[in-house]
Amino acid sequence: MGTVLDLRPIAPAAIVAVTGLVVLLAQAFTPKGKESPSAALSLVGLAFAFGSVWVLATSSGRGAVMAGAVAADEFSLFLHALVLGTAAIAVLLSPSYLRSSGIERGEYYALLLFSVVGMLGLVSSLELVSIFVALEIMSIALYGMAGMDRRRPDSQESALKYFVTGAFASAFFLYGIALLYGAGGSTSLERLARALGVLPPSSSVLAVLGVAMLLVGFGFKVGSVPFHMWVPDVYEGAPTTATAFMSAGVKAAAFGALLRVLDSALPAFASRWQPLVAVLAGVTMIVGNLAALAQPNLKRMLAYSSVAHAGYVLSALVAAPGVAGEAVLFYLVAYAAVNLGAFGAIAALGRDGREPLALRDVAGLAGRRPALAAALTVFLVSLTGIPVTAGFVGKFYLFGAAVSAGWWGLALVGVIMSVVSAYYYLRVVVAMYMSDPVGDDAWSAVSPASAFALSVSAAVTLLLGVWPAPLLTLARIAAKSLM
Amino acid sequence: MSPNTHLLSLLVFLPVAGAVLAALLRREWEALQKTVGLVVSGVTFALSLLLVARFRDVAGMQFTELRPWIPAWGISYRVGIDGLSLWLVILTTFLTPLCLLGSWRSIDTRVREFVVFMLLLEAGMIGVFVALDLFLFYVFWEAMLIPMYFLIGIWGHERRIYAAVKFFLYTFAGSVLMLVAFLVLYKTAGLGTFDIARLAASPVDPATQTWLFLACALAFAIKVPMWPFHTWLPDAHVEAPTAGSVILAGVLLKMGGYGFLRIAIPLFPDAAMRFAPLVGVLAVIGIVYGALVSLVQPDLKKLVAYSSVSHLGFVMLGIAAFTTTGVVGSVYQMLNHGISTGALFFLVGMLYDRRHTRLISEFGGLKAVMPWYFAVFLLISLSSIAVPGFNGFVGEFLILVGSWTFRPWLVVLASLGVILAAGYVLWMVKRVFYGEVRNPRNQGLPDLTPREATVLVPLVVLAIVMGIASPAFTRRIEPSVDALVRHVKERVQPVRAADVLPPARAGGEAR
Repeated sequence: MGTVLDLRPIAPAAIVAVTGLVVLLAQAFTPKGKESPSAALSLVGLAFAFGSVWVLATSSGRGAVMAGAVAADEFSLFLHALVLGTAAIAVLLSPSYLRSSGIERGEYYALLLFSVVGMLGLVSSLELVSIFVALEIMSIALYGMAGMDRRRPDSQESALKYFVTGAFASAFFLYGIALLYGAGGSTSLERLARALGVLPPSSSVLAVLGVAMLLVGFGFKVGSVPFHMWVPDVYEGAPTTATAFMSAGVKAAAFGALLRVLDSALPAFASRWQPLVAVLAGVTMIVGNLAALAQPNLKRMLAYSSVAHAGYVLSALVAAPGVAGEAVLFYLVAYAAVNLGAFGAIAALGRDGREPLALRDVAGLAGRRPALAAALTVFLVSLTGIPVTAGFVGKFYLFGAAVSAGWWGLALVGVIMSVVSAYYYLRVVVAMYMSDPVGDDAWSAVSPASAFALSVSAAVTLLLGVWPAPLLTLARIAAKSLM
Repeated sequence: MSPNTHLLSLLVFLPVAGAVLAALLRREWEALQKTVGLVVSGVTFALSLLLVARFRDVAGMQFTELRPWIPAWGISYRVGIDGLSLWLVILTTFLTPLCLLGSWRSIDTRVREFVVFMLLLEAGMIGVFVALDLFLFYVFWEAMLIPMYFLIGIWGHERRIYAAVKFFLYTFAGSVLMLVAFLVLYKTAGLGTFDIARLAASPVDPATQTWLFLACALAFAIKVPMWPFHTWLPDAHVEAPTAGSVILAGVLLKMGGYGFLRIAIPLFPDAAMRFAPLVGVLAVIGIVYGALVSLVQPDLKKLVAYSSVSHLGFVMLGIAAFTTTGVVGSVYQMLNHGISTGALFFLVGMLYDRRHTRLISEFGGLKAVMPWYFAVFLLISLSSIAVPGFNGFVGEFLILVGSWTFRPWLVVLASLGVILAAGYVLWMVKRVFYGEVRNPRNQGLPDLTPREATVLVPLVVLAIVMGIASPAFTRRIEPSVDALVRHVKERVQPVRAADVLPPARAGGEAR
């Protein structure tokens, strides 16, 4: 146990927060007509934060600090690394896209960094109120990012919708915390677990309601059905690079926090929330995939696909506490790489405020941008869950976890829905490779930074598909630290 | 460590390396890309012949290699071959260079991608036949779908996109259920391994087996394809480019039969034996149905495609009977079908290259115009309809003999298929080659070019050699099949006494 003043475990978040401030200030002090080096500064800050994660991981004495509210255990460090990596890729993808949409502003990077602070807090908090605060830090920054493209009405709509539903979710979340506090007498996950373990049946109703409310709150954040209505509109309206960051980062952080809450605070109630999670998982997989089937717009299709993927992750969470942890952690990495890549590929082609959103826009892309088309194919194949990609190994672990917990029906729904998903993902591949191009080449050349970011995503996707053992070992160590 | 240890890995990864190399070449260097494809697949074939040379005629896995892959789940990179897989590997390495050579002229767009996908496909197919770990098997099984999907979708004929998507969704749907079955098996068996041999050594309880068998059998039945899961086949075969059709018919379909023998039957012996009569009946329906539909096809390629349904019905009948003779016949028939139907698709493709039509009614009297082409076509047709002296005869004969003890009436019905096959093939030959040249566009069609002859001659030679010198092949197959049959029957014996199976089964293994 460190002292109250031991701030080492929050060093990564602190570094990112300071970087965010520096980015804002740098913009203010940049002479007119000159470009502020926001992206470069952000990358440097993220690199330093990553370095601090590395130092923390290799040093001892990183127990809970700040009155037991925050810890830098293996679990949080694993997700720290993931969130920071996601942010770095998103920053790399952003400059060319922002330029093409005419929204080159330093605030974008500052907001991105602030939401990273929230995500880092979310995955390292050991206490419900801290989790809530972190959730808000993350969300409020994201509302701003979603509305960044002020001139586009759908971007404004996106921000407003995200804000309203987000506030709604926060209320549920807070109410859940209150009920659990009423039942267990604490907001600390550890003390809550102990109190709930010996709860008299009379107060268990309170606790079950509290758990349900928390699940609703998390359900909103991860975009699970029936709390998913905001996802397509927000993902479509937000600047595409912001969507890429959101879809990968928020999922990683919110699922991380959910996993921690389920594993550390609520194991005593496993038999109560498992069926609930199972139903959420099943419905989310079915609705997400069927809805994606009907989307002609690529961003909306990927939005519904991310709903569907939330369902896949939920289907493994029924195995929590237990084998779910490592499967979920592995999948979050795989999913982040793939989603950053898929949205990033769309963003990379953006030109003059337009991007390829319809199938006809990407028709014949394989002839015009062979490398980008190949990368996007890798991402789509991975989303479908076909070897030799990270998506396949990830789904294998998720469904493996579900089966090992006895929920093989969920695995069945999952794989059948994967077949449905193959249809809409492959439609894009068909357009790129098997259709003739429509009209002139209206899209931008891929910038070196974007090309680098997409190459990294594709390489990670393939590498994890061929050689998943090292990451799985790390995920296992991380998941163990929750127990 | 003997040089044998890495031979199979070399066979799998050499084509992958070739694909990477081809992908790195500039788009304009088409001839070089084709050459890379041909040389790499040729070297792979040459190396695979080492397997034949060093193969010992005993049961059990040879050329094995084992490496931990995902230790947390007991998944390893475990490869090896026995009599069941030896010739299927050779068939794969043999057909791939022929396909690349056969497509030398007909593929003129996006050559680089074509070579890359063909080589990746080859790696995937070899991988399926050598994998001894369920996870590894599944990885190869699925990974192979992607290149095939592109082959049909990019270089296929008019309805190529429909056919490609249908092919993909059909096979994908079948295989994902198999994945769940593997996961449930992993958990139920509780051995912490995906090693096929260890899982087969201690099968799970018969009630669980039923569901797991059905899930796996569906995946394999779609691939074979067994009636009524065959509807993707005519579309895929007809719309695919020649090389795609040859690989589809020659190798991909074999994975279904192989899957039954390697996975579904040894892992779930009780269920497999219980469902054997059903499989047998479906197989015979496939034989007769495929033959009848072939009889009325106006399109050459469709005719050949439907004939596959019929031929593969024989393969499944032998597997359902599950006597040593029957299964050896099935394995042999898989090879025969790969050669004769592969060759037929080549021949149809060559005709299409010349005339851009495949309608039988467009032709007639080609015998006089293209005598060499006709000679090859006739020989291959004879092999396809199982005339004694050709390879097809050996396979079908073994299957029918081996199935007699299983269900005599099924054998009688299946024999009908043999007669029908002679009918639809010979009638087609008559309409295409005999009579007068009535269509002026068929006048002066060029005969086989040296390149085409190079593709076809090895196939014709093999069809005859395998018909005359069949023991050279079957003696490698038989020990493994025999061990498999005994292994399964031993497992099932105690259960069967209490079971309510019809008495016809009792003489099942008298051999």
